[in-house]
Amino acid sequence: MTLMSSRLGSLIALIFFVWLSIVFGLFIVVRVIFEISLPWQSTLTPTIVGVLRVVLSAVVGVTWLLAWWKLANVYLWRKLRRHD
Amino acid sequence: MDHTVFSGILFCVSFLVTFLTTPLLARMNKRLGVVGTDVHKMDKPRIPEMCGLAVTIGLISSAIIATVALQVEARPIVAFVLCISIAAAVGIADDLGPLSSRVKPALTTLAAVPIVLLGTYSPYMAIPFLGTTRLTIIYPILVIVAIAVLANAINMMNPFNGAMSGTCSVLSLAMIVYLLLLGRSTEMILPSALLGSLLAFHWYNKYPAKAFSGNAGDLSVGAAIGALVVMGRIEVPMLIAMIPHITNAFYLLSSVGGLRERREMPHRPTRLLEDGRIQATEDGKAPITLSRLILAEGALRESEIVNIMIAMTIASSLLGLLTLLLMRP
Repeated sequence: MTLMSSRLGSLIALIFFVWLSIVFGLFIVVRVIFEISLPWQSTLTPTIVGVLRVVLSAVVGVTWLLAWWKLANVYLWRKLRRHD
Repeated sequence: MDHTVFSGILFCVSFLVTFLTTPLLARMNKRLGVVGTDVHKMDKPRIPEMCGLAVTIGLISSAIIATVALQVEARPIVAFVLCISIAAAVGIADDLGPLSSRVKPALTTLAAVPIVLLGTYSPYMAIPFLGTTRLTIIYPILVIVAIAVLANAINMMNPFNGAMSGTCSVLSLAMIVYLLLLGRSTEMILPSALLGSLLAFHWYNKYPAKAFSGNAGDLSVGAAIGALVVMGRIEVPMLIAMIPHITNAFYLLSSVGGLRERREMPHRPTRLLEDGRIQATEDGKAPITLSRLILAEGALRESEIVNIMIAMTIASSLLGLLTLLLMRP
């Protein structure tokens, strides 16, 4: 029972990490990246800002996925080795 | 009549229809030879496949009663029925003659077409920290992608007896709670019917299973959840509630390097031990799945694995609830 609880606790911690990364990632995208502006004004400025926002938001998205992937790998192999 | 009472009536109707239809479908499919092997049992019993169609039948019956007897607006109900029927048809095609790993998700996108064409969505999406945003052009595309992704994610999360019916029952209940908190009682009707159908089906699908859902049932239930998320405008809380399903699909796809069917994976993530328990394999080439992560700390019985999956879905649904509360003005 204790073993099951500790196993469930670790897995819920993984879910909590994913949730936190989604919420924090959204915060970065909405409050930081969407607020980006350039100090100079030209006809190209709105396009550059738009592209910059999309690219940086995509970087945040890819970082989430890489972090989830890395965490799952580390969790799986560490637990498997320990169980051996 | 109050919509909460409607929801209660449809819960009972779909429960009863699914409860009575599942054994009939199981008998019929066994006679027709539509059976699958329960690979996680020592004696490898042959279990009737495609019985998840009983959930679809339960939902369609509830939808007919909602429009005919209870006079609920027909347009969203028609869109919902078409959506789950198309997904079920794709699932039947896959169960009878396997579809390729690329064709199946592509065909599942068709399930979203009725939702888009009948306009049963709102392009105003609530996003944390941003508030409500208008996504007139992007939203219909998101609907198509979301329904296909969710249907296939549910399909991938059904390796054990009762895993799909148990976790999706939790998701349906979460949807009802979110909609209740948002005061959207009209949108609660169909999730209540879905909960009724899934609980009835779980009775037969739980360990040891007497009926398998099959791709027909999995895709239909996944499309139903996707459609209800869109129609209920609870995208972000449900994205959080579905973290176990979404991460399972992500881990699986990224570890095998793209879309692959189970039969196309020679390296298995788990193996059956002689005492009937299931163990995670140490094969570096085997895909990473949620069940493998659950079993990384040691072998478990099939019913214990499913209980952990259900507990994880309850935890993520509670985080979805927390997100919903944080998003409220």
